[in-house]
Amino acid sequence: MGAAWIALALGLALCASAEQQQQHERISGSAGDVLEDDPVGRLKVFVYELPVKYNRKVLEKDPRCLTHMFATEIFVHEFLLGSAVRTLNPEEADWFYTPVYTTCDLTPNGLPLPFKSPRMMRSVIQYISNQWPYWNRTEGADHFFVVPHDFGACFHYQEEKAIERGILHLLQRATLVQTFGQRYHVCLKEGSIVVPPYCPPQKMQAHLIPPSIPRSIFVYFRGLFYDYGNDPEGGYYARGARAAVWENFKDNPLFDISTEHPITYYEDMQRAIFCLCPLGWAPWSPRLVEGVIFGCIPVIIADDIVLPFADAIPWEEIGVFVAEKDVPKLDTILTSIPPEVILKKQRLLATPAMKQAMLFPQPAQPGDAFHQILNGLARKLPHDRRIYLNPGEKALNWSSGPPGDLKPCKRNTLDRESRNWHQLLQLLRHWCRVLLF
Amino acid sequence: MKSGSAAAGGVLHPVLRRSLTNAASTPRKSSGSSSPERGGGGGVLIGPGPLIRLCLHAVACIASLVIGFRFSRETLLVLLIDVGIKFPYVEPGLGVRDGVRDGGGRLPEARTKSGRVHVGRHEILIRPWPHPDSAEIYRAHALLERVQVEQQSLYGPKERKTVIAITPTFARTFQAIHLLGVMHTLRAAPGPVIWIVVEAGGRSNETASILASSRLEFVHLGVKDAMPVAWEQRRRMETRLRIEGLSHVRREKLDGLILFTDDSNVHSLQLFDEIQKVKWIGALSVGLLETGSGATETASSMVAAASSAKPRLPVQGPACNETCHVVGWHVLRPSPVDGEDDSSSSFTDVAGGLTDVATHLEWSGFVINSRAVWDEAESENEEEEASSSTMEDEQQEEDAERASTRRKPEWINEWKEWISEDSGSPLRLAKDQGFIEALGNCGREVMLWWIRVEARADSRYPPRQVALCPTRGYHIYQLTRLPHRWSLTSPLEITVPAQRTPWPE
Repeated sequence: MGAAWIALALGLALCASAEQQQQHERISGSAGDVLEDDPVGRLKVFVYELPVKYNRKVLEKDPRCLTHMFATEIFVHEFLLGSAVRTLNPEEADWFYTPVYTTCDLTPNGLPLPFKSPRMMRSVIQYISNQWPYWNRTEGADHFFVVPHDFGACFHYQEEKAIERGILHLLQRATLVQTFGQRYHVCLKEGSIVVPPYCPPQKMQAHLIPPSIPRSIFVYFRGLFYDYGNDPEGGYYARGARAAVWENFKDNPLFDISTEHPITYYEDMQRAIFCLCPLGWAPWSPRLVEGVIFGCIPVIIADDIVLPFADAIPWEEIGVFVAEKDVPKLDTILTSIPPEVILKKQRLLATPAMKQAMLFPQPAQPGDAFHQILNGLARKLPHDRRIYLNPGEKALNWSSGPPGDLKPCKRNTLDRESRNWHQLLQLLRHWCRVLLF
Repeated sequence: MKSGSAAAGGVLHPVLRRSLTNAASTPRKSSGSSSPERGGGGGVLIGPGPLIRLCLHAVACIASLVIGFRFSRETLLVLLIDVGIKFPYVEPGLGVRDGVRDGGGRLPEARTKSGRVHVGRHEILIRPWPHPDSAEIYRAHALLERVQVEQQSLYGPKERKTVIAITPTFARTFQAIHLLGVMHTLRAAPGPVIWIVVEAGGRSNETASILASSRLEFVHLGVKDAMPVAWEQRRRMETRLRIEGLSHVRREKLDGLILFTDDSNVHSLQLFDEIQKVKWIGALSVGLLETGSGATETASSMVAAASSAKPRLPVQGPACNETCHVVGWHVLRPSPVDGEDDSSSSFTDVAGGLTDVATHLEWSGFVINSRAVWDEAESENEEEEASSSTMEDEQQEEDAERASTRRKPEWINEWKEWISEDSGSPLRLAKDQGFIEALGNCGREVMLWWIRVEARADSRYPPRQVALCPTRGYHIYQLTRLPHRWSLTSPLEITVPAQRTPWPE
């Protein structure tokens, strides 16, 4: 699979050299031409050895965590364990990584529950601050954490609750690697690295069609417009933007939009020019990654969103940004884009560096999202002298936060007393079943 | 609900309360409940504030049960009556701005830093006339065309040879469907196309009128003999028609790739990109869609077939080894008469069994460079003339290169040897089958489908058709002027579902 991408890159390079026409263009963002930078040698990362209850046990309990869109945290851990930037000597490390899987407590439907995540995070930080002196040295300013959940380190799926909670107090000084990004929002810290959600690369690779198949769909979207289960009145889900798309364009032949998810979803994306990426309950979605991989220009309808690797990838030149209030005029906006602009965007999307930067392949390849995270971390070096605290100086208040967070994270999900109750209830249920049937 | 009843009890065992709050919080995004996890304090009495809230929540829940709709948010409505809540659909005239219905008040803003975006209920913006605009659709199609042209230039074949499509046809009920299908396919095909339509029974007006409306470059040829009735004889007649088309190519020295587009076949556009790779003779995999077999299957067998693993499409085409060289043929003898599929998928190797294989392979599965059917002597004369006129070395090298692509290789049979057989076959064009190129990822992709469907014997068209009823075993078929437009001016008397389409019609 990696060979296929490299072969594709080589093939395109050969074609570009053979003809006058340029098939793809170099991507260069505000940080420069950095997508192809190699972070090895520019930084050193020390990975803490944590007890398995924070990572491996959690994963063993529910292996679905490896395939859902929050699997970033697990794969980043695996990548760093085997990477060349890893150092076993913490004295020479620039960054410290804590491999804790906070997004792995899943409902039967597969959605992660964030209720225990703050306690888990607190417990981990207590552990590393007791075992190693490096946390107390800077109170976490040279540590980074991967928090790929809906609203990052606010640890809630509902936006109002997440804003109320704010970012976990103990992570105030640390760098957060998260998928959520929205300007002027409590849950996006200054200096966070925004990454794309995890999309399985093999699954997308398996659905590639030859690029000569003509793109005949103008606008493509598959997903919910109304979330009747959680938002029965309407107007909350997606801030009304998805519903506006549906109401305005449901009978427009240019818009291939529906809630039906077909088997040929990936193939259809490759036959479309524009793919809508509106916000949902959170502003980010895997559609952005899928659109980039399949060469479909993303139409981003999410006010103030911060897109992944925004300093390395010039998203303004690649995607089309539409304000939520302009959704009723979406067809006018999209049809009045000049064809040269569309072709340029498609050329930028065809860049293999761009596609690589959105993926988390296993094993890691140069230029992929893992390396972009490391590049982002490397760009923040060297650390400011001021992050190093004097001994005895404290910057964090360990007892701040909602009282539910301050409870310790025990070994099992239930503590001993409730475990007894639980067992009693189970026994009772078992006997009822035996007696009744 | 549960936390409400817990609160009503006052002090609770801390564990039970905690497990209850955990249970209450599992329904995802229950926007009605007001943070029950807050109620689970650390094993002490709940304070008065949360207790009152819980009581209110319990009251609201019970009230909702009684009244029948959810009560909690509406309480907020009552409490914050000064904020005007707008419903999603607003009547026009209420603050129309920029042609977009927009409202004013919103729910109180949640605590965010300064920014335009806030959490809460938003209005669904709908423009006054939410229907497509034809000017925009036109512009969008222009954009689509431009993108597709770019795609073709980047990823499609660089030079396109002319596609010479040879179609044998004859006037009958379904001729219009089939011929129009081929016409649209050829119109959509990129690159120059020459369409040679060879008709049995002479050049008829129906066919001529269809071709006149096609806006393609076409050649309408006629063969005097009418299309026979029996299946085998039909196949031979079709071959004769195709050979007539090939002789036209040979006479006129048309340059390009010869594709045998039978009028009832279905072609995909990917085919036209794929055949540009052919140098001399290419072989395609043809999917065989049978109609006769569908008729003989009973409902139960069809159900059984549907429930089995995957319905298999019978495919006829080249069989390749690992190095993508043709080593044999998958041959199935399609015969829609009795619906029995003689699946003799024999792997005949190149040396032996030619006679059996060649007659059964469909012509449509072969693509031939038109130079292969040209007259050898004449083309050689042309080349000598061309080479004598140029003297420079570079041009001579180019000419030599071009000559090698133009000159027919030795492994291609001469016209007379090939066509002298009674039933010609494209396979016989090549002396050595190993030189035949397998297209479509070595025959693995099916880009065209063979099907023969004709109308029922007693299909009637008001008012002009005259048709004889079929006698058993023989389908005598006679037609007078059939309308090539399908128009029903009077209601049909009886409509009978077409359970079988017997051959021939």
